[in-house]
Amino acid sequence: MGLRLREQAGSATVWVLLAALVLSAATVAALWGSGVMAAHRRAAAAADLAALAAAVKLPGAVAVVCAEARRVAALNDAELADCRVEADGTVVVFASVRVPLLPPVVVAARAGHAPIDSASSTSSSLTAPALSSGSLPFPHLGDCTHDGHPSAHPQSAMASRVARNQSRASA
Amino acid sequence: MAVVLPVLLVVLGLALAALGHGASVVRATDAARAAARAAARGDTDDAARALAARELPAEAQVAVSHTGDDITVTVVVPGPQVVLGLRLPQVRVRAVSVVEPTVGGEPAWG
Repeated sequence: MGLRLREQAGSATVWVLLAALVLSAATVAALWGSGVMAAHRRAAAAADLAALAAAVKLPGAVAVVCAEARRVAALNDAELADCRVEADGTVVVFASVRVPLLPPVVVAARAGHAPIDSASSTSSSLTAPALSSGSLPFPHLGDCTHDGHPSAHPQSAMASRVARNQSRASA
Repeated sequence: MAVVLPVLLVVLGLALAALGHGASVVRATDAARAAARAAARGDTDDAARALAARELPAEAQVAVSHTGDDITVTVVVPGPQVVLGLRLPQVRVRAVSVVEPTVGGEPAWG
């Protein structure tokens, strides 16, 4: 009888140890996962703000525009992975944030001056950047929580609508 | 057994707090970014602060500061509770934006 009790107590300890091990592993995984998620949001914010800041320097030399993007990305705790001034006069900024065990999270943002009707040259404005996530090899909530717009309302259409409203309001 | 169960509870609390911490960081980052954008396009500091505070728990602190044309929004959120009295470190996030040029004295847009 005594022997059996001791056996059962021993097995309970094993189960508790196993549970502690599983829970610890889950904690580490949760920390890592939320770290990657946070890195993604930070990269998105840095790309967004850097692109907007760089667009202020448009039209200008690529070096000047991208230096501003690099400066603002760094201030937002991200690195500038790439910076391009496109033919349509917008700037595309790629910001990256390092995460453990994975390649850096890279997020792109675009900003530039809105297409404006020829009559309303007074209403120059910066368009909201279209956020497109770069490489995030991690199942993320971006598809349902992405702060953007459905593909049925593309960035270009919204931007021109804003520009038209703007020019009407300021006329 | 009597010793192990509380330890197990603490580990469980730690796992849940870690998830809460991650969620706080994400929320604080987004709030700081929204406030920085608003301030950049001409909103007052108070308006930008209110915008961030709306997305954050009541005990969060939002600060807006200006250095030249740079606007720094700092968000501080208390860390989530693990077990009674024990908390994870506070979440501290900042976002920096640059003032956008204005047209005719008015904000360019917004």
